[in-house]
Amino acid sequence: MTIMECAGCTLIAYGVPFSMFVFTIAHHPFRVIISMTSAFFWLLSLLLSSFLWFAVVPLRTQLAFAVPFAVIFQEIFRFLFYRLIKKAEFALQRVQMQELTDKGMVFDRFAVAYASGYGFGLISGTFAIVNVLSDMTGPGTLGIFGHSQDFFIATAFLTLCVILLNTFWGVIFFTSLDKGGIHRFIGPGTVVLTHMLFSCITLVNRTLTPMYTISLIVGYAILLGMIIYTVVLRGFNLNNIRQRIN
Amino acid sequence: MNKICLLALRRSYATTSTSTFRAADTIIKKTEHGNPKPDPNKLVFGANFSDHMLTIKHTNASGWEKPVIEPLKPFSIHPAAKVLHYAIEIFEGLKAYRGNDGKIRLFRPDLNMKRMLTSAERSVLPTFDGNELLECIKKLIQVDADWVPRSTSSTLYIRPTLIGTEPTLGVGASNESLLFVVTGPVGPYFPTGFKPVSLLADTFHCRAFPGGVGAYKAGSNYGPTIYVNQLAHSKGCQQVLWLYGNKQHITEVGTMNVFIYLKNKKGSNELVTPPLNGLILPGVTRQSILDLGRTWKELTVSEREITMDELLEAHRENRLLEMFGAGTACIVCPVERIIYEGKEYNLATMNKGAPLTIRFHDELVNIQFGRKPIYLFLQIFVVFCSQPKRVVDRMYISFDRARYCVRRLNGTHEIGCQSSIRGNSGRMYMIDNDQEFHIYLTDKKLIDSFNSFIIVLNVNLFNTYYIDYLMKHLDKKLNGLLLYLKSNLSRPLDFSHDDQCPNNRNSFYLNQTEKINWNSKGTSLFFRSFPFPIMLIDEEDDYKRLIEFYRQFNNSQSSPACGLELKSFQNAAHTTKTCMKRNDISHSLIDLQEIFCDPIGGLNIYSKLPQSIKIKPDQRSLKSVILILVTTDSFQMFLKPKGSTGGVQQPATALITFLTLAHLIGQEQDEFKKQNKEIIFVTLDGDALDYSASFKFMFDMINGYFPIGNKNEQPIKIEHIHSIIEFQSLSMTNELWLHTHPSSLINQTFIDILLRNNPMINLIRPNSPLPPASSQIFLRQTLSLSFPVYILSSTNQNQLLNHYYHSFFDDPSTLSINISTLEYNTTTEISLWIKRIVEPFAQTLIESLVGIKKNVIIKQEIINNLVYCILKNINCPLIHNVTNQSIGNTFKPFDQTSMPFSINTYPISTTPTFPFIKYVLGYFLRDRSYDIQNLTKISCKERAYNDSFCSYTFVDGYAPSIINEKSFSGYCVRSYLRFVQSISPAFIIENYDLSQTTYPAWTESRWTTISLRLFIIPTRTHEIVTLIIGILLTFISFCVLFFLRYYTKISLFQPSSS
Repeated sequence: MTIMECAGCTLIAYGVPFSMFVFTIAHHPFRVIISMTSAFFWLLSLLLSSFLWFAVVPLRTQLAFAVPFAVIFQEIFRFLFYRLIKKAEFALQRVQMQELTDKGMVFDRFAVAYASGYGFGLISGTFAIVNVLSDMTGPGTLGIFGHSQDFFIATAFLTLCVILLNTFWGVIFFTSLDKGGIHRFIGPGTVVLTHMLFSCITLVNRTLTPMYTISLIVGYAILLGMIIYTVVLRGFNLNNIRQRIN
Repeated sequence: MNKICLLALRRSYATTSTSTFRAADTIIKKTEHGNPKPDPNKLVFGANFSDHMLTIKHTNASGWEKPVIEPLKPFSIHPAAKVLHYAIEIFEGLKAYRGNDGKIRLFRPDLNMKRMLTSAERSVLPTFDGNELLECIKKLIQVDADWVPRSTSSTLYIRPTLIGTEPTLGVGASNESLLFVVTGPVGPYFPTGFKPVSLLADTFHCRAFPGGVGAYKAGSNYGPTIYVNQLAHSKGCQQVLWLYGNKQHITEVGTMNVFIYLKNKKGSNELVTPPLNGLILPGVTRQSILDLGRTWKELTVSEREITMDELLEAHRENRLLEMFGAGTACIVCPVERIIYEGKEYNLATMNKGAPLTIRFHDELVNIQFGRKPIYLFLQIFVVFCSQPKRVVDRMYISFDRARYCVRRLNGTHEIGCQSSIRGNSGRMYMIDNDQEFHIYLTDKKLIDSFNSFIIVLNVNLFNTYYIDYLMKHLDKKLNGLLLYLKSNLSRPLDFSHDDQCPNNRNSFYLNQTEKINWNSKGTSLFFRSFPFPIMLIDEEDDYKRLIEFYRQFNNSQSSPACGLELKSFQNAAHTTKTCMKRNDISHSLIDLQEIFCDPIGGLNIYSKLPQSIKIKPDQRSLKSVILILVTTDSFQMFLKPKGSTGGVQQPATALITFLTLAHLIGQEQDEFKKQNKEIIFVTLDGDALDYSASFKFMFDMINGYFPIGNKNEQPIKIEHIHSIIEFQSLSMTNELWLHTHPSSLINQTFIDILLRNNPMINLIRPNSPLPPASSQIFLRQTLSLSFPVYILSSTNQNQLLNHYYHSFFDDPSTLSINISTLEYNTTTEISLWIKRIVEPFAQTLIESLVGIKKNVIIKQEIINNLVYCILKNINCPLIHNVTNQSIGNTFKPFDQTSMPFSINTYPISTTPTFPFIKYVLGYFLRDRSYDIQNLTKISCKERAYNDSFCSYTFVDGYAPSIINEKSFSGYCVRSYLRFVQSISPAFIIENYDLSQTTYPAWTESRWTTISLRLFIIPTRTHEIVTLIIGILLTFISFCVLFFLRYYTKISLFQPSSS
């Protein structure tokens, strides 16, 4: 892969997350901490998935076996992280918050959900593309065996999709659990199902003539759905937004 | 009662065998020197084997041991092992197929594993997890992946076998067993299209019977069939049609399952095969044909019993459509004729070209080679090995058999090629001939559109004209050169990259005006320094792969172009002086010396008859030593670790001649005892580059180190030299030339006798220029005042006759030897030719030194053996016969390799050349009085201990060399052998300034990785589009978020909610 291609792919995958980081997270030490910790939790889930993959010897070559379990582990760890945050929230409420509040460190549940989702997404997106990036050093590009030339660009867009999806999944997951009631089941359920769907769709890309379009379309369709779901969940309506703009 | 027993037995058996081996535990010991791969178009079934095998041992006491993948070797087995007596053996046969996509596939291997387990159970052999064995087999194939033929018809046959090895003679279950897997490339069963077979339907013999083992793949099923098959052959049939029972049920064909395609009485087409009733082997191909056939609507597939009567009835009523056998080896094999009860029946199989048989064949082959999408039921395919797991494997195609050019340095210059540390890459452009060359150079648009080019050049165009033109025209854009040889038939007529006057920098004529272009076709490219790497592919299928991808991607400007990356980074730079200085600097942090280059040189080896040793204070008389010289090195611009180094005409032929002469002198040693001249045989290594070995030899002699090894031996000085005889550049010409110098010292009677004895030899006028030869240095160092030199050469007065002088094309084919059919004792033209040269020469020596005429005869076999050992396989019986077993083993790693003739850097590069010459030369010149002394091994050792001048080795003996052909069980050999490292004196003299030119100072750079990769360069638009999308995306998201941050009050975007 040439330098231009590499730069282009990096910008595609990380341009949007970078802007998000600059405007929503960088100024808030608390959010930075949350996102980094959630990234750590994602890594733990990866560790567990790889243990499973390692233990079940006969199915090592079967990606279709490993993927659903990886998804389940990720979601379990998202839940564990939620529990942890809840504990922290209570602990923080107990101590004198006044001083912190004055400095702007408000325990904004929405922001916490957002930051943790962002951390999850950033690390899983990075893992998705870093394997590819490490192989890209060198002067060539894909396609000598008739593979699609768009592999890199598609991977970059998929990575972007993974990061954004995880961000919204984080928001939906946390907010639904906070809301309680029927939401406690619908929210996480939707997240697990869509996550599973998205991951399994990417398995299609392992054939010789992969249909990147399918996984891209499905991915971004899910993303759109998640955005709408978030908006609904947060109870935004048009008036509300208009109010906020003014 | 019987049944219960069997059941009980099974249960107890099952409990002991719950254990299995694990593929993950496999120990892999790779061979260092693989065998050369056979030509995929000339494979014979079961005759070739890959480098490695898999073995797994089992004992009832400790279960399965760890699987071991190791180099293929014979087993040592106890003679009482049960398998040798009661045929406790089962096996499987399957194949690995390499598809066009480079993936290696196995065809339904799980069925083989299943069958192997049932066979093992029936033979009371231990069972195991079939998947684990499959994994082990995959590992084995991965190790030998190169052995899976890159061919659309040849495959790798895999033979897993399980034997009972317990060394007891009782007929009972074997407590010890051995599972092993050997593999080997096999060709297509029908290389020239379908050939239908004839069958003998034998009514007397039977292959299997109910309750027997016909349904298991046991070795004992196959041995007894050979006799019947011979019967069939005697009746003009290829195979046997196995029948069973009074009704003559059709069961199998030869070693295959049988299928009969007929119109049944209801009028529909039916494919019949006998059911698995215990008489039939459950074949994998059989199962696949059944599965495949059942998906086709136009026929019904039935597994039912069919008798000879039904077959013949259908034949008579013209309802029989086709009949074929099915097995792994042939897939399907049509049957056209049956002899049954003395009558011949010509079946209708081939009447319409056997469409069904061919259809089955094509379908299965396409599936096996991965050319067809797989049917759902056949999805048990295992795809692995070269399956690209990483993206990088999908981006690059490596050519790991390419030859490469490396860097060498002398005191003042560097020569050879260099790549950058990450490799040089550029757009690939292929130029096949002069016309294309000029088309390319005038295509300004193309040249301007890329920054760098790797030019792929036909090897015929590799000469100064084209290279200079390219370098000048492309300048910095020329980033590398790849040469290709289309096939062995399209070799260039001349290919020599040495100077036109080889070794002119240090020749005897340095201060004389006359300089002759001995090597008039030489390009001197070897001595040029290229700032880019140059590689060469000389394997035909590599070339085909290259051109295939090139054509695929070189159609238009818009599509992506092919690129090449050549990596051959050389550690050394500038000059020998620089790099030797760098060698001495040890790394301060880790105190590890890093070596950048090694001085060039091997060993100078010399030997003589042991009787002529002069021990102090015996005085050596003046002019009493005759030196016979030959060189053992050559060079070539393009190297390959496992490939021919050329050097057959220069210097191998001369070396064989020299060794043959040594044998004759040894054989006639009684004659030479009668006179007082010593004949010393000397091999020099390093003379190809500026005669550094000769410089070292003269340096040693002048300083009194000749002969080296024992201080009590009287040294030989220049004044002791009587004359020098050298064999140089011999190449099976009808005429030979004798070059002599100086005219004042030459012995005219010797010359006269030689010319009389051998009319092939012509005398060159004395004092005419000498061809490139080591003697030049001997003359130069003595100012040609001390002794005469006689150079016997195929070089005439002005021309080397070798068109491939110092190149890898100088291989056995130039001496009209077909290397693949050359055997240990094949009489070739060259061995006859050498006999014609050497015998008169030895006769001349006897005549001129001893003064008697004697007809000497050498056995042709000795020359034949030398030719085989040196040109084909250095690990030959000869070297094993003349050394003891432990030394002979050092040649095992060089099995099937010819003697390398290249630039040596001793002792860093261990070439088999030196031990070979040492032992063979020493043996040929042995003291023959010891042959008949019948010394034991111990007394041989004692003598070695007491005598510090000679060496004593206890050997088996080389039969053609022993006069008394009584069978020896080994004897003691007394020989005289000395050797000394032949690096130039420049590296020995302390504080010698390496930039001086008194002595040559050649070194060879070290290198780590050599690689050649083909890839696709992305199109410009593709790159730009990617970049623009990236920038746009970033920019837009930045703007949107900026807007949200400053123009809305969404809390998420507020810096702090204060």
